[in-house]
Amino acid sequence: MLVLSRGPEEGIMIGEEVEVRVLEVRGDRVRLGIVAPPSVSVHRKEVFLSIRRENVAAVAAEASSLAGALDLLARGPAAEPEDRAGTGGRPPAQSGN
Amino acid sequence: MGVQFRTTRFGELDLPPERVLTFPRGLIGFAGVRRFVLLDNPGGGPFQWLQAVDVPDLAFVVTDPRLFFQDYQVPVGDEDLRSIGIERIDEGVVVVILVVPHDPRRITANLVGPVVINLRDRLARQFVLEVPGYSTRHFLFLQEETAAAPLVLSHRSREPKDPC
Repeated sequence: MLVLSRGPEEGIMIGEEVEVRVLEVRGDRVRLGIVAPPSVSVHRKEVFLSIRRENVAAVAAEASSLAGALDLLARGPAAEPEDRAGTGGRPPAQSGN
Repeated sequence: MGVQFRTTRFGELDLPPERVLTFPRGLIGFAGVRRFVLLDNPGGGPFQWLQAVDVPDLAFVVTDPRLFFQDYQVPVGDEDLRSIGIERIDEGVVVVILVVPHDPRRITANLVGPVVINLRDRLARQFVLEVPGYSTRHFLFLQEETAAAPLVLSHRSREPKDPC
């Protein structure tokens, strides 16, 4: 990892198009400004990591649970075991528009 | 000739090349895996599988988020949309990835990282939404909306409670 010390109003360039500027340092918080072309996506790291974590968790899907999910859908909203939610139930899988 | 490949869950597949979707950036955490196909769930219902062409055991359950969350929005910038060859979000197909544990009531949807698919050009990308209230673990069925952060959405699978 490249380590640089920067102060307020100083910045770094990443390539020729991405600029990261220190706007303010206050206590244990640093405010950063980022200038990047629209093709470069900029996100807080924890958001990125949380999506990655869910993607990894999603790979281990229990296919047999989907049959149970279909039962829950057929039963309709408010899936309490004793709640029969009407006769036949409305089909929640329709009218997604 | 079709594209022939082996999968752990679905056996040997032989699909027309036009069924193959390319994720130029992969999925988040799986950047090296670029080619997927969308398969209907063998058991039916509003579920599909995003199966990697080149990694037999890599497959994700996905669904149309609007079936469960009517107000779900995918605010993605023009430049990001153009990266998969579309101009407007409604030119694409939006799916969200599900975590499917043993107990189906605990299935969650990742509303922060939807996948947008341009079926015409067969290009797709997982986007990161910075929308306040969207969770990476939103329950499809349970009434507690999420194990993580609160979420402000109307939920199709629950009865309206007292308006807050």
